Amino acid sequence: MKIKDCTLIGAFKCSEDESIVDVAKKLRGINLRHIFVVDKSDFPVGIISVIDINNRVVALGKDPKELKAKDIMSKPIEVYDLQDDVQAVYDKMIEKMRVMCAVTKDKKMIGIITIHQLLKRLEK
Amino acid sequence: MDQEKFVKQYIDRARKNEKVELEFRGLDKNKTREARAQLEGFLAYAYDEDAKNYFEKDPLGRYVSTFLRASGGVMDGLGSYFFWTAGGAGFGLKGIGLLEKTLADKIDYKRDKKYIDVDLSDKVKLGAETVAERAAAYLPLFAGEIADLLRGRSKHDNLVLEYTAEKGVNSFLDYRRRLKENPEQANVIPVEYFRNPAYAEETEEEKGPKIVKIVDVKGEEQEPATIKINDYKAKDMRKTGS
Repeated sequence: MKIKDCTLIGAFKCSEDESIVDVAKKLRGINLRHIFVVDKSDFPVGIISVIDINNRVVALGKDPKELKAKDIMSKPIEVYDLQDDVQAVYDKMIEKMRVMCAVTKDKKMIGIITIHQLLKRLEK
Repeated sequence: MDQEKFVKQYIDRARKNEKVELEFRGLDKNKTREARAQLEGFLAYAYDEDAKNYFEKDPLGRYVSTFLRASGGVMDGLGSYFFWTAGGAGFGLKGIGLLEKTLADKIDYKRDKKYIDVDLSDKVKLGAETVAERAAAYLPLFAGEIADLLRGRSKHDNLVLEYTAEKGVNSFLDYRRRLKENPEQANVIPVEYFRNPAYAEETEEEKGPKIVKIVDVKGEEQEPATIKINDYKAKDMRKTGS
């Protein structure tokens, strides 16, 4: 079974040069707690959580208007392809303690796979 | 108009489209929500592709056109007043006013063409409406001025919005068709499905802290369970920054 057989969440992403204010606005508008950062070719290169904004910007007294997504993103991240095996991805995500990972097709981010969806697939 | 307002305004209109309605027919509650989220996603994407640029880019052209419309409206109004009270004395003023408005329409049309594909029928529709507005300028009771106030700029905005909505609907129908042809294609729930309603409806002024109380199944308030905060230590295995 492959990742393409799972239900993905649409690509919730921002560019590397997007300001933290814009990133925070995106996170505010969507009920997801992580946003992926993509490079110019739309390949995921990092991830920012709402907690990252708290810990790496607000708590340090930094100006969110001055900072860009690439300045505070967590990296490297695991990126999987639509053709990757569900069991293998599940094992890697458990090993790395990841709840969600970016999924690409032709090296472009097309969605997000959650551990919950992988579990649902493996149960069937 | 921003993306959120656009999606909100056009989603129900899109649902009334016969082909779109067919896509929703017979779906259960969850599938309906999913399809609606897909439609919202395609409308939002179409907005970002076209209408966003029309509304946000090239502000100078928009400012100039707004100024010409306002100034033209004043001239036209004064011209109408003198035209009907002083026996045609305001003819010159009206001429200047109408010229300014026509110039504003030219600028707006140029912007339309820059951001969307204007076809012949749109061109004819815009042209006919502009001619009717100019002709109405010679009617009593400021009919032309009112018509221009209501439809002057908005006929161009609407053209772009309608085009964008149609593009969004077509993309949605195309996606649904591809999904039927190839069920193996990844099923992606658009991120709009997860939109936070607490922030989707409000204006900036209305926003404020929200207090959510935890309520048990009987409807009684209860204290949340607490866990020692020291149990949670950051285990950041990734590096920060670029």
